Amino acid sequence: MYEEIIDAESHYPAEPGAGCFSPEIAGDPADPNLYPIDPEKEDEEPPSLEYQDGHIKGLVYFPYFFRSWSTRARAPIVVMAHGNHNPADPSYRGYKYFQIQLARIGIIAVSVDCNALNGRAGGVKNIEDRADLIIDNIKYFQGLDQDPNSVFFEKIDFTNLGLMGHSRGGDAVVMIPEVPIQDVIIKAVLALAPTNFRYWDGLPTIRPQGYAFMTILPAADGDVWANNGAQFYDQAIPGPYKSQVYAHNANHNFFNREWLHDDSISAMPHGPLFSRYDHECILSAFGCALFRTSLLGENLTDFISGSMLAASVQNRSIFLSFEKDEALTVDNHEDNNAIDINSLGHPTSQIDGMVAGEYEFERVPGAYNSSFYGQSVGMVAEKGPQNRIFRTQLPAPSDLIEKDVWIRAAEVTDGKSVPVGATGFQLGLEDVNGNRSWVDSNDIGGGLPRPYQRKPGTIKTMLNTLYFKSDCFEQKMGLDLKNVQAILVRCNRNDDREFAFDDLQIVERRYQS
Amino acid sequence: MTNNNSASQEQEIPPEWRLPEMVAIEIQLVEHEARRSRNFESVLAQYNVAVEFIVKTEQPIPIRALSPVLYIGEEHVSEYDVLEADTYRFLGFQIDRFMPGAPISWGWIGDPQDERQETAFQFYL
Repeated sequence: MYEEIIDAESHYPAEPGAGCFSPEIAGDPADPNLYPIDPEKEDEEPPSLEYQDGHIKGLVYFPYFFRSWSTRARAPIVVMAHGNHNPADPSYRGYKYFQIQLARIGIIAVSVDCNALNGRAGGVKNIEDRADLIIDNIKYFQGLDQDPNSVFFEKIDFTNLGLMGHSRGGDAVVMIPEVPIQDVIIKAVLALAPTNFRYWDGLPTIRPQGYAFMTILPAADGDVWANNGAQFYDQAIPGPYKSQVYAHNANHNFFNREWLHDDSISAMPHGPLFSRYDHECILSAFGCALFRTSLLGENLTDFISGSMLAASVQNRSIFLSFEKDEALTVDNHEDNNAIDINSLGHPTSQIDGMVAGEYEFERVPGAYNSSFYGQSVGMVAEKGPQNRIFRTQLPAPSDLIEKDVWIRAAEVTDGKSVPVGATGFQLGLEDVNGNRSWVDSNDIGGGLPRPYQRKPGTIKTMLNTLYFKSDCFEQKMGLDLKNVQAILVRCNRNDDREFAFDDLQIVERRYQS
Repeated sequence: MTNNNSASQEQEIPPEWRLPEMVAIEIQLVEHEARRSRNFESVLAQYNVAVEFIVKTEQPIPIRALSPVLYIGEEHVSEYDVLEADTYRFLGFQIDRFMPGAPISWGWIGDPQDERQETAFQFYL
């Protein structure tokens, strides 16, 4: 048997760009380069107006060219909603920076005033009330679109609608696609640090589906400290994709300029905290990438998957999960067929001292430990001897040319502390002749992330997606990449760590962007 | 393009999220009428009876993303409305699960059990 290994040195935090897979820094998804902008207006805010009609109230920004825009197609619309906060503060004005960016790229950006529901109630009903209010605002703009006296007359494309919600607003915007709204097609939903009141009340978590879904999870969130958006990500069905942005050094509040408290103090001791500006860059870059791709037809998916890095974002602290609908799932551990059989119905084996099992990746009885905060089932490779291997068989010899292997992975924490020193693993391919080639997790752009340090008892095992490009294996002599029969995971470090894995997939490169 | 005209006044003081002392509680069975539906039906519409807990506190409950939740033994009650600055109306729907004499505690929804705050009250209808 021939084996080849690419570099196994740990060098976390790795510079993006090192090793086999090198995501490049490639501009900023929030840059307004879609429509030509009048140079005289480049430094001006796009036009905006505050609106109110009874309980319907908010702030809307719209593109520069709107007033004189008579021949263009209608513009997409994003409707956003803040969460629970002191109703004396105008929380709906806190996302102006994001609204301005969206308007500059040609998207109408509405921020709904939900203060009538703030500080007054809690529970599922309060989330339903928020969803109801957001829908009322959408219908209000449908009315303006039909009103010849409105600046929005026949200007809004409701078949290209996106939603963004923060905190309880994030919970509400996930609920809205479950409700049919006449003449509205929701193409994308962004849940920023959302609560999940249905989950807490024992109701099924809503499964985002039929639209692009993204959640942003601040690792230093001191309010929604359980990062409940991970439950939405785990339950979401990619359509065409789902995305999770786990942001170390980010708190709950600093995405909204009206929310001044640093909530992360309640999660102390934690790692360094981003400036407010860095928080805003995260929402701007990933939000604009999502809505430009989903609503404007531009392809910025590489920024969402992490294949490209936004220049404005502190990328070393950002850890992404990403899944597309066009992928072959080798094992997602959701089949209730035990660890010995993968999702394709073929056998797995545990070699050289490997001990692995399937566990709830959720804070429930039956979980591996209490550090898993999602709502999925996955695999844990327990501590054991160096070079222990988990092997999963493919249904037939498979051609992996122009295909890559994706896997979600994490270093398991006990929830109380972060071990000293980074760790990692190797992913291998085995051809029909038994030749094996390995690529190290350190060589695919950043390596395996460390758990984020925060108050003991709340440190999380949070998986992110690692991309192993088949080219990296192909470089190795001896492996027949056209006839791969198994995928392997080798825990090759001598550091006695546990690893969590989920969503092992083979993805054709043509579907990756 | 992002600009950095961020709010300059950060309040680097810890948010005070400790629940206030509960000074009184009144419990009764009530008819439940779900919220008026504008765009969709509430999941709570299936309940036409609820146990109402009128809770009086020493100070207002802090405002945050999470909600306060009552625990009747191990059964939780998370739906609430504010009646006055220090008076709250909780509604529990799993009425058969509330055991007479069960201790009432409370905490923030989703928080670990050891962070719950005990009260001096027990459940009796």
